[in-house]
Amino acid sequence: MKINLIHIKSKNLRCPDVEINFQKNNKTNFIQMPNGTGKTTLINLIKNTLSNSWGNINEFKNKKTNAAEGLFVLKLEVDDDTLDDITFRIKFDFISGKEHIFTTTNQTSEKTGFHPPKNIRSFLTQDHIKTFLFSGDALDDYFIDSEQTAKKTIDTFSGITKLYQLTKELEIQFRAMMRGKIQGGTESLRKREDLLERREVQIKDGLDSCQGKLDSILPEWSRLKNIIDSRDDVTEDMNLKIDNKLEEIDDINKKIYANEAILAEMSKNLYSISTAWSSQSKSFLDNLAAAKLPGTSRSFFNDIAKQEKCICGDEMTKEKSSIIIDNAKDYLGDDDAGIVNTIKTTNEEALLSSSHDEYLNEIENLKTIKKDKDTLVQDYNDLIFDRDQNSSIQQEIEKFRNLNIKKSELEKAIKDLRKNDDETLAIVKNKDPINISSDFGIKNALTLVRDKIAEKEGYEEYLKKLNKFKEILEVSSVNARNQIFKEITNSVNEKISSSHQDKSFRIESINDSLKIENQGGGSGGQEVTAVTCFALSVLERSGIAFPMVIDHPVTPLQNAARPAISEMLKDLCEQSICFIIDAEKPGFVTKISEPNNFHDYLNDNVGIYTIYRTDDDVQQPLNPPSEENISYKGSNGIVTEDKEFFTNFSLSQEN
Amino acid sequence: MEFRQHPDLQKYNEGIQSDGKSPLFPSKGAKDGGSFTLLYYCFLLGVSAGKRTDDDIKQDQENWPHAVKNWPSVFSQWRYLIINLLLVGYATEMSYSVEQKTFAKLLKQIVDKDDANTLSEMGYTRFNQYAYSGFEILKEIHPYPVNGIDTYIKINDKLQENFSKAPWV
Repeated sequence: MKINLIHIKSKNLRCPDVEINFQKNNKTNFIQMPNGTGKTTLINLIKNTLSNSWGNINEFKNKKTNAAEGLFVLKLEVDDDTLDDITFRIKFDFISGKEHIFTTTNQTSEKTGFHPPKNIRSFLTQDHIKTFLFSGDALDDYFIDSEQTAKKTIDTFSGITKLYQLTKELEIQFRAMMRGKIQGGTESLRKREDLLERREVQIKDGLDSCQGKLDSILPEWSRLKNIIDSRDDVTEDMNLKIDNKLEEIDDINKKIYANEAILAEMSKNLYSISTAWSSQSKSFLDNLAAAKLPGTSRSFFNDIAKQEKCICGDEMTKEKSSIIIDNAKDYLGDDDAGIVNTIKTTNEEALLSSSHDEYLNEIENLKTIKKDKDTLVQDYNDLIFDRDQNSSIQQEIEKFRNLNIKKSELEKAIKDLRKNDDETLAIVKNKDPINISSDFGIKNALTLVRDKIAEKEGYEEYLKKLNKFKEILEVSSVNARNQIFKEITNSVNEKISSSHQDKSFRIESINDSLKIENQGGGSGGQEVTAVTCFALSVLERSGIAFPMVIDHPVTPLQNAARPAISEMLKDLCEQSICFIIDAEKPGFVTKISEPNNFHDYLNDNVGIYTIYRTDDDVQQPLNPPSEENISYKGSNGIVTEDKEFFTNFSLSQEN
Repeated sequence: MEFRQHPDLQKYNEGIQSDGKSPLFPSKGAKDGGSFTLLYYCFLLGVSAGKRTDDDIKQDQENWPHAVKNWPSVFSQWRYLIINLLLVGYATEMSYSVEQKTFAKLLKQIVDKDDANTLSEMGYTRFNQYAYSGFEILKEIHPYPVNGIDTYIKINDKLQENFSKAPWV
């Protein structure tokens, strides 16, 4: 399918009033417009019309005349077995700030709205249009991996983007569909999920912030550490004193550890801790013994209940027997005796083996040793102070200490934000999201609430299937995309070699971006060539030839590099429309050595247009075109196809 | 049921260990009792002061962090001392005299011989409640722990003080 732009017309807009009829046999078209004439406005009008995407239409308003209304018309010819003309008429109402679109085709009279035929409708989106309507001086994005421009373009034209959009829609539809089947609402769960997601973002922001701060201090911390580690301003005597003090501290720490171990064991015997408690417990145990407990009263009563006569001598009726058995449950039985005896004997033994005095002695020991340790630590700190206070790197030491504290704090904060071991599934289950402090905890809480939502909404199984489908789609898309990358790379290289003289210039690969062989990026000329060939290859693969509309195709290029671009456009494009300024003509349109003559390959089938304003406050050409050479004369603009005028139209005349 | 702890207890235990390992306060997950040891000291503080949280017990405790599922092995033989303390505490609170019928009732309230930890639901609940309140006491008497020694000395001083007052004497 081939699409040509055959007509544009503007009236009462920010660009001058123009009307251009592009000839079908003119494969290459140059539109010369001085800076400030409204070139960007005209290009944006084409772009927005084709994608039917209009934001604030005031950008198109003619501020000079303040006209209340404006008009733009764009006509396409679609050659897809049969010829069809499509006209889009945009009426701007600047008072209401609204645009009104009308579509006319061969088959239909003018209809309100944007109604392109089905065969081209899917290509008329912003993403598609930016592939064949681009600016030659802003191609960097195609060569930067992170921008993923090449990948996005291929996804757009191969339908991968559409597939992802459909999957998203499917998921939304699916959830909406399943929601209708919920028994009981899930609003509160959804609300909790929302709060948890917000908390997750807060925790992530906190993590990023701490990590950023840590990263910013680490280089300085390392530098200072190196200085301190390699210091040579400390006497041997001082080092010896410090080492000795450390040894003493180490020794006393061992003593403390041993003492603590004894106390840890002693403290498990409660009777060593308190004599008061020992007395109470002893009294309780004595009472148990006095009451002959545990005893086995329940068995005794159960035996009686089985006798023919009660212990009182009366007949043992069924009713009486049942009452005795029932009440016997309130007494200890054989099965209770074991546990009560264990409690009794363990406590009696513990009472016997306890020693409150020894316990208090160990406590006093601990206090004394701790005091000794404090003295040693103070001595050590004094030594360190003596060592460092007159050091030549005293400032660095001080700075390092402060940074080290900061570093430890940040490391701890990061660790805590990542994981709080206490925030298990059971703990975060009902916890207020704001009180969950770690990513681990939030993830646990989100898992719980999402499982609950899935369970409640009854779509758990379906959700699994949908997720599987998405997984398959992802894998298939990656495989398909990689295959397309290879095919497009070959196609681009074929086009480059057929149009470019430098045979060493090739595209090495296309994935997220275009990679020019043996180079990080390409020269300006190579970039324009590569992007144009890429766009043409993508369009060709889609079976559609759109007009290439290029703004400033060769602005960044030296004159010598320009002929290759115009020759390539002539050779490869079914229709190209280049918006240029006067300074772009040499080498691109005209011969470098003969600025008044067109390149030989541009003598035929080329459309030449010059557009300039005729407002009173705008400088006019010294030699305007004769009336017969004016193609269109509007209230504030002229369009001429006069070749000589085009060639002579110089920069000095531009505003 | 299981042993649960005050939400701030773990952080407090980390503070204690910032000065190095201490047998008096093993770190979380350690074989020698782990953070249960601190929970145990808190339980003693709570019992000795006669204080335990008494709100909507079940719901509250489900929101408290999990401490340990079972008695740590180093406490295995000492658990009957703790159970005895719970029995005496409950008997005192309910004014139960020690005789056949009331003791059977008391035992059923606190002990479950079929439970892995020999505790009934109320047994766990009361242990956790005492430990919770005990931790509140600990935070009050020693809010910023930096090592095991100072913390234990503070705990011991408070225990001695509590056990020297009624109802203990």
